[in-house]
Amino acid sequence: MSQPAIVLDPDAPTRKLLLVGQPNVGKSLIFTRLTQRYATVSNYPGTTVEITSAMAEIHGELREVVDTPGTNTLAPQSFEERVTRDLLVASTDADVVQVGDIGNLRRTLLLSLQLIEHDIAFTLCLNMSDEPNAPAVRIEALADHLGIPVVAVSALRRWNLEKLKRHAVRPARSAVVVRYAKAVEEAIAFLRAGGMSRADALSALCGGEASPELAAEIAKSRLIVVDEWIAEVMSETRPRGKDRIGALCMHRIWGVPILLAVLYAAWLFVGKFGAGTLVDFVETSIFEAYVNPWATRLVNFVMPLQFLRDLLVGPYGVITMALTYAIAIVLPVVITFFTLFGILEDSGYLPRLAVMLHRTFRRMGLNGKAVLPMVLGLGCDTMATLTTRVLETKKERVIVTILLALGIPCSAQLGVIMAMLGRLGGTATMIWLGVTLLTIFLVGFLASKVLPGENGDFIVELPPMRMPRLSNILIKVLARTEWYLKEAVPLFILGTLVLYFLDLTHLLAVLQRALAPLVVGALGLPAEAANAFVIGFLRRDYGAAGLFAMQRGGALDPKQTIVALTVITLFVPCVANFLVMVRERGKRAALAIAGFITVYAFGIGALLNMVLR
Amino acid sequence: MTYECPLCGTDFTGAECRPSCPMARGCSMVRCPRCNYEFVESGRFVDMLRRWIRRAPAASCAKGDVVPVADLPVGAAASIAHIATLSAARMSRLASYGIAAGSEVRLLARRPAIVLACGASSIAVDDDVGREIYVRVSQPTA
Repeated sequence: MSQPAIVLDPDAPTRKLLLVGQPNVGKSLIFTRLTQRYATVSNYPGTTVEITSAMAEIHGELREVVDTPGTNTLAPQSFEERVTRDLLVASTDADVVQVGDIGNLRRTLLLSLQLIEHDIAFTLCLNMSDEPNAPAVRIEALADHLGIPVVAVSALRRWNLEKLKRHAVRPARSAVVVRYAKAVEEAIAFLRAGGMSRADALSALCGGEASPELAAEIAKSRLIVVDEWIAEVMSETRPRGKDRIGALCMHRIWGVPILLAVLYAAWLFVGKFGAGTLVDFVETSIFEAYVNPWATRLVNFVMPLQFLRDLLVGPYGVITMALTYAIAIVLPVVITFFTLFGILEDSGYLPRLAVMLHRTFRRMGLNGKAVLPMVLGLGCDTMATLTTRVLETKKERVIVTILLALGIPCSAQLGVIMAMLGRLGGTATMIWLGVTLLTIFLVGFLASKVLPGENGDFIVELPPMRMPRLSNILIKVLARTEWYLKEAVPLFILGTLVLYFLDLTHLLAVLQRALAPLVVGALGLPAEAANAFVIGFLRRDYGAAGLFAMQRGGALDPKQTIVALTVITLFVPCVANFLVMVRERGKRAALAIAGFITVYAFGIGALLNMVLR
Repeated sequence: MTYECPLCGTDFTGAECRPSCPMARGCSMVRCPRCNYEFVESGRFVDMLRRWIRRAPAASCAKGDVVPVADLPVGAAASIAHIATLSAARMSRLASYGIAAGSEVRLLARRPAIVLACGASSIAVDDDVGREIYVRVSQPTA
């Protein structure tokens, strides 16, 4: 659910400034500070899914600053690491700034060593130097050892940023060379004889098909060098305090009530406050009382043609339907959801949730890492489908893509669903939740048995739990709301226009009649519910909002509401998600997934209708 | 199948039956070969429940022993002796977090996943991965 990235122009003549570093070391915040532009910042590894770039003046020189995905190694094993490595290799004339956590100097220097081995000129930026447990590091001594500029900064408190800018445009190439054990050097020599560089040979020796003994030797030698540097530049180490809250969040017993409490708080904040109080206020007190009557009067006064009046303020009007749905019903829900999600992201809870749910996910042929795209799916399934790239194997990526499209409602849709469930009470919520969770586990379990392939390793870093900063949450909510408005409102208007023309040409009635055996017969819903399913393909939340309006109008009884909610939750994802599925998994797989989901969603809906009646 | 006699504590394998007993086949009673005490064989579900309630205690280790990190008691620190994996990719992935031979690690949790503190990082790994990380015990554990 990061911001849409600015597309990089490979032919751009401006010199690039690449920010590289491990996940969760503050690259995105440094990017924001250098460029005054916002890149999603979280206490959550893997936020930067796409490459974000912006032009900025750095110490009097124009640079295209590029925020790269977090990487732990230059011997890439994941999609993100490959992207960063390729960018580094391709941008030979770029200035590179390695951003590292000063509190985790060992890991920072392990990556520095690999940059040195790749013969890359760079500046080392040691971020988070304001934290109370930041160790005392003799920066000049470290710069002498490495032979490159080193700057200690705090992006959060804006410490030393001018110094960083000064050094960022004057990077240096280090002369440090690490000598490995004899067997490793022989293997490097063999590979170099075949035309590889020393750095590429080392990367190959750390890759999937290589010998684990040589990989172990390489790791050991690098750690020896790094530990020697640290011993010489760090006078005292301050161990990080015990992370009691973090430990409780993933405790096998206490973790469960904490998870339930988080879910309950989410339901109270998004479902009750956002979707209840706020929606009621915006829809009833603003739109129904002022906006729609005024717009109707104005349009009737200005527009001579009935056709145009209907287009704007009719039953399928751009103002009375599209804008009312987008601004009055979905926007308050989305804002509260983004606030909650921002707090969860910044607190560091999400990786702990991955640990908590790892065993459950393993039964579905996945591992805890899949929790991250699934939780991101609660924000936006389209972005989450892109983040399935963080999973190591194709099998895992396919399973998560199916589960996202099938059982994970996006933030806007979830908000509307919560609002509808809020009116029905606990039993309805349990039925909806039970069917959805059962679907996820059943389909995940079966897919893991049917699909060929292997499962990836579960190795996840747990960032320290932090108190989220209000300013960061506000910026994040604003940026994401802007993104939502830009992306959703045009599609809402397009959807309304489609409905309007279908209605004008009486095709809507034909469609409703054609779908009647399914919608009315099998699902037991009113015929106009077909509109919601048709339009749900444009945007999931739009479809749900249609059902919400029907429920508020008294057109759906509680049982019908549960059936309709379950079907719209499971039903085919929005068109954007479908297109991303085609891009990521291929046309055949995407069509197969969509076909399966359609049959499954209506099948479960019909079954639920039979059971509840 | 191995059993532990609840009366005398003897470990034994295989349920011994009296040849004269009419229920010799298909009965769920187990008899201790040492004290002849008979007890009911517990089912899979009960075993699972018991394991969940009474976590398997960490193996006792003497100083200098090399054991999988998962066998350390929670909270214990040790240095990594070697990583017995067949995958260079897994080795490199662990190394990128600083987990390699010679590094000091502390076991923070065994459940729901193995959580290791290494330097300033906390890393959660699967049981399978944790079983491959062998550490040299620096302090004897009970």
